[in-house]
Amino acid sequence: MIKWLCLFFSYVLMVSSHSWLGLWLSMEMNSLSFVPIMIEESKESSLKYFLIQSVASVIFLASILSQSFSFLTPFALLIKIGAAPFHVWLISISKSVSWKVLAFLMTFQKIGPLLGLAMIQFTSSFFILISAVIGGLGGVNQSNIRLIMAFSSVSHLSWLMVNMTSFFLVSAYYVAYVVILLSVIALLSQSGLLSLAQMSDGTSLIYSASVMFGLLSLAGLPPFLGFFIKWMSLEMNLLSPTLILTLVLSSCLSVYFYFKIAVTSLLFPSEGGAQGAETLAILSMGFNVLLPLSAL
Amino acid sequence: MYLACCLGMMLEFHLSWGGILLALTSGVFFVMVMSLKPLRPWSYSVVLGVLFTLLWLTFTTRSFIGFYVFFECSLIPTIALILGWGYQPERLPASYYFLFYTLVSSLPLLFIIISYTSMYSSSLLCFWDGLGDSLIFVLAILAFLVKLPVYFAHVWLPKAHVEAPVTGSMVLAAILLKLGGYGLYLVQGLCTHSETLVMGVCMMGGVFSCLICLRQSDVKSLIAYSSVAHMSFVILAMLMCGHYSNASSILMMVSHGVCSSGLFYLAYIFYTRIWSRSFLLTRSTVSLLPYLCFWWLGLSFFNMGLPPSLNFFSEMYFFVGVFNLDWSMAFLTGALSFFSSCYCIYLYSSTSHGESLYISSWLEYSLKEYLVSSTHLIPLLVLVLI
Repeated sequence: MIKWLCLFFSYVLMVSSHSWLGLWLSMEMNSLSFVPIMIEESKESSLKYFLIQSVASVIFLASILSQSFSFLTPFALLIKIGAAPFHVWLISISKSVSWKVLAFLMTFQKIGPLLGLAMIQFTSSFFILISAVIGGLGGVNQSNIRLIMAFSSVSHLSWLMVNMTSFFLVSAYYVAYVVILLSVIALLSQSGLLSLAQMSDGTSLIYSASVMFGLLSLAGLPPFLGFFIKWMSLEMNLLSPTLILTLVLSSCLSVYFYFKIAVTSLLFPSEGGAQGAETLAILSMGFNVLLPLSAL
Repeated sequence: MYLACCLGMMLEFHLSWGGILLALTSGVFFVMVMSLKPLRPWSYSVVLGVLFTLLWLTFTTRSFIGFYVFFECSLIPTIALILGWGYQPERLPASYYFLFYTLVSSLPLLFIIISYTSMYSSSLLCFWDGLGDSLIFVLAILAFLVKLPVYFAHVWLPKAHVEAPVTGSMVLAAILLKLGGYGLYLVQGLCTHSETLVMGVCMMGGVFSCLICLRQSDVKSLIAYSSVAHMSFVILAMLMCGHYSNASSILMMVSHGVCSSGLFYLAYIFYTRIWSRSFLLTRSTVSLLPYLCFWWLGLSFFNMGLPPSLNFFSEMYFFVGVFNLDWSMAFLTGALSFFSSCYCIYLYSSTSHGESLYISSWLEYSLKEYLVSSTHLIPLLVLVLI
């Protein structure tokens, strides 16, 4: 119980820190308190996580304290967040942790580094391009659903980084992404599915429909919520066409693997009853769209 | 569900493009509801209802972004229809082809819409004046070219049409292809009157796909390739952006929609009895189902543009428009018309005549099928009067 308290306290600290040192402190606390949560699942992953995060913290500390290392700040934050080319730890961790931890890892652990990146308004196109490409291409040949989600988080990071120049957009995209991702993971973890081959084992139609809605929302297909946040980011960045072209093409690639998951569960529906009210709640999320649609 | 469709059909008939296509949509949905008794009927009607609403919204929205959103949205219920109620294992790659062809090709359109929206700070339909250069026009129409398939990007069409259940095929042929046509109409503000390359590709592609039709062994696949050929008319007419051409393309869209969906329904009638779509087995309608033979005659001859039908007048307007462009198009247009007659007659003769090797007695024919087939044929005759 205390580890959860520490974790949430670290989030509060992150958001309310006034200086780089405060941010560093809260990120340290965050990673340290996340390790005991992970260690129940898999010791090796928690060790990897701890090592990577502490190396990144050290680099971050050095860069904020000294003038000559200050160019290293974004790199340290990118290592913490799991952007490409520093994404390998995220991939190897997600193979062996449970859905709950993975959910935390992909959503809330990103608050701190994203705050740091938003403060320095980091929009280097190299990292955006490479995250998009690796996130899109990497997920295509996977059959482990958690790996697919990890690659999806890498590619969504590229979308997040594209609109770093406007804090509102970053936070809007992040909030929407967290909502969609948590709903998808809630659904996927509910049935305990681990790999793609298991998805065709006969789940009820409403369940597979809501999984499909959530995943296609992540993919950025209209009419779902995910499309509108991507549209916002595109509209913001019309000046650099190569950037948005790559982002959208990688989004197309990611449609392929989301669609793969969604469709294998849809092809063999059994007539089992709906698994509680949760599926309906998730369905309604995907259609959180009636509001933006009415603005069209 | 019936009531909703009846109501949809009785709405007021503006003579704007959107209105015409809306009327077509309502009519087709009405027919579709009658024509298939599916498994899992509740979710089937949900999917159809969603698709109908989305198509309705596509044709009535006033903003380009809205059009784009609903254009993409209509993919999802269609894919659900193909995957959920199609009956062959090839429907999985077919749905991938369908999704990805449309998705990837509509990306340039998205960019152009967004850039125009931010330039004019509005995305209403009236702002698209002619100021793009040729590249922008081609990129903008790429999505629509793939959607009403131009020959080289047509690969998804036979797959999707053949694998879809009958209502899926009907709605695909009738409406979804016309979304592309409607979109082409909307971007005519950007038209630069100089895309001779695309026009040439369309024309040759139409001829090629007519020739491919003649070598098909699957009835539905033949009808699908005939859709490609007819849509090449539409694209060519739209690219010319003149009054006659626009008239020809809207007439062609309506008539092709009704005709193709009727043909798909007829193929389905045979399928429900013989459980095969191959030309070797679907024969001799004249001796087994003689009343059906009349519908085959009517629809396949209207498909090639026989005089009192709407198809004929659309082709007439098309000839006028195309000769306006260049006299040498006469040869290709003539070739296209000739080959389309070829495959239509082939379709009629091989399904209606010939010796039935498999069945040797009369088959039953229900009232429902009468109704559906007539609903397809009669508008083609009647709409000429408008």
